[in-house]
Amino acid sequence: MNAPLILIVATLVFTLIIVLFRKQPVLSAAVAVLGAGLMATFTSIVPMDEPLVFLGIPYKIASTLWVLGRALILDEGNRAAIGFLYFAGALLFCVAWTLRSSRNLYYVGLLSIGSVAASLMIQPFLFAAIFLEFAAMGAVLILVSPEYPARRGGIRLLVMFTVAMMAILTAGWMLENVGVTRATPELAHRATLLLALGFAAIMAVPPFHLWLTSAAAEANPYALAFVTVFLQSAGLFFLLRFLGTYEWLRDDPRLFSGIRMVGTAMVWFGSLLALSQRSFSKVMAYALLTDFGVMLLAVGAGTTESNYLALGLTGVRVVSVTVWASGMARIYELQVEDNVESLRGAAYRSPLAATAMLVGLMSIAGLPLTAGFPGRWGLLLALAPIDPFAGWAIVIAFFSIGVTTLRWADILLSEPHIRAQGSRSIRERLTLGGGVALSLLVGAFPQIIYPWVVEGVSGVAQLLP
Amino acid sequence: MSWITEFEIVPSLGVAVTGGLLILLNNRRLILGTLAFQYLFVAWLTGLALPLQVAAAKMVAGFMACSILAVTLANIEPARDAFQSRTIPTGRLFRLAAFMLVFISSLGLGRSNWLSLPNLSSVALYGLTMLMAFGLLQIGLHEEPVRVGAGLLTLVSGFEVAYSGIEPSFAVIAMLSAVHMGIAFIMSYILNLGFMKYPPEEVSE
Repeated sequence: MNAPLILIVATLVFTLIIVLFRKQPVLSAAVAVLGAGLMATFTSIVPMDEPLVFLGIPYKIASTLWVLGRALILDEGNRAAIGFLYFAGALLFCVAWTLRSSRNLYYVGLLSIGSVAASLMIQPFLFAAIFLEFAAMGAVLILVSPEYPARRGGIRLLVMFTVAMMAILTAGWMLENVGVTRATPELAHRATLLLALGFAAIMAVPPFHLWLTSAAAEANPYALAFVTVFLQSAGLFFLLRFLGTYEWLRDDPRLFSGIRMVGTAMVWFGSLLALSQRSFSKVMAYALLTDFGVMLLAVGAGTTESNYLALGLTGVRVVSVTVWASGMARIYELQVEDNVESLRGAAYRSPLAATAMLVGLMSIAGLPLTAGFPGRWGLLLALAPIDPFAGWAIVIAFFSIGVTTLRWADILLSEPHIRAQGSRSIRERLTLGGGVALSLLVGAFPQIIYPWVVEGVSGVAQLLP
Repeated sequence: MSWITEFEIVPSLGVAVTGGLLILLNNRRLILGTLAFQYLFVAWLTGLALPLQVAAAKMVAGFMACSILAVTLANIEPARDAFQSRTIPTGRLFRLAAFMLVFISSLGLGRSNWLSLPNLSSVALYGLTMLMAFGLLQIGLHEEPVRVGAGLLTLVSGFEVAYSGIEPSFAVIAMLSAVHMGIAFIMSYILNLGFMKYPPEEVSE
């Protein structure tokens, strides 16, 4: 037996089952959760390349699959990241069950996670860019649905990832075949520029962020949450693999200061634009940009601890974004439009959904007592001595998104004469309330969950000295 | 075959013409026809670095991508232009001016081996530079799925001409061919979305 083959076959089989039952949302969600959960478990705990005995039958699960001269390898360097992606997928599918999200979410979502997993397993890993392109195609199918035809956002996303694929493949060829090292500064400069272009497009660095704001305005919030979680996680893992593989790249201090500069600009850009938005989805899009900027600041700090913080931030983003998106999607279900006028008093129409929206935003902003806080605080302490300007950017983000949260809380809580609308089922209470509780729990007791999140995804960071 | 290298200027001139037509034409069916024709020249350019059979396989993938879009176009109302840009000027004169600017720039860029690629003739370099430049221009000018799709496919074609020379492995060729078909499928899906009536999602449990 072969681990990558098992993952591929299992992904295809579960996808097929979901397609067969796609008119029954609960069954589709259950199969998606089961499939993603089983693959997360398999990836995380099953020993590779070791003789095992099951029911008296000896067997061994090989870690390598050869396809057309290229290897797919599931090893210690990537299994934690792949397990994390499938686990995050299971969580997102589980909550999607209670919401009327995109009809393509379950089966295309599972295929997209499979594609991201393949991008982490492929060797030479430079070809991961092509699998990320396939994942982006899946993301477009999730974002653009008959109910939410987010055409502009979808098309822009595909364009950005196609540009990224070409830039990274070319840079990868230069690194692998032309012999780029410290001794070839001109080639190194050219390869670094191509890499910067590719990763900027993947990680939605302005001006490559346009797909995010367009999609936020048009797409189902939950579909957008799913797409941002797995695409940004894949982008971060890919970036860390690059830094881990090429020592000359890692040893270049200008690269890390450049990453910090881009991160700082993103934080300022996202924070200030979030303040001025009249649509809550766009507020969230800019808050997410700020969060991606903070993640880049963590990578740009260039230390092992800061890499762990970047991974931790990626882990808690799953919780934050899920809580926000589930609240927002529930508000949409009540036929409330996404603008200041329509959202006035929304907290009285659906108190739990409004709470989830605000807690999600607070958590993305990294405000105290929310899931995003421990990572932000830890990063601030680590970054301030190295780069005070970047440290101040994090503080600005705290204040700016904090003020934005207060402003939107005021909007949601105005018009107190409005009555609650629609019945709240037990599953809605469970998911919305559970999400809010989880976010607050991680924020209040980071020592319980945060190390586990970091440990869970840290296998990908081969940046230890 | 010797004629492929002997007349290597033909595909480069061909992509200049088809690239221009893709930008200037308004009729989406003609755009697809031009795109299919462009794949012939792309295969020729690819054939300068790869065996002809492999180049032909790329051409087939391109034709399949065009077919996917063509089938979708055949099933939707021809008069309706679902998704016109509201922000970018798209008049033919403007597009002609933009095309001329990009054409001259790509001629300038193609004079040097700007990608530092080995085993690439100067004529092929002009061809791939023009493909990538016209593809980017097309993407920048339009937001309508068929035109953006044509732009993306042109851009990827240009990249492939360059990349297949340096990475001729079968796996990469197969995956990049899949990218062509994937882009066509996605654009086809987006195009379809505005015209098809989907039944509401069943919510019974």
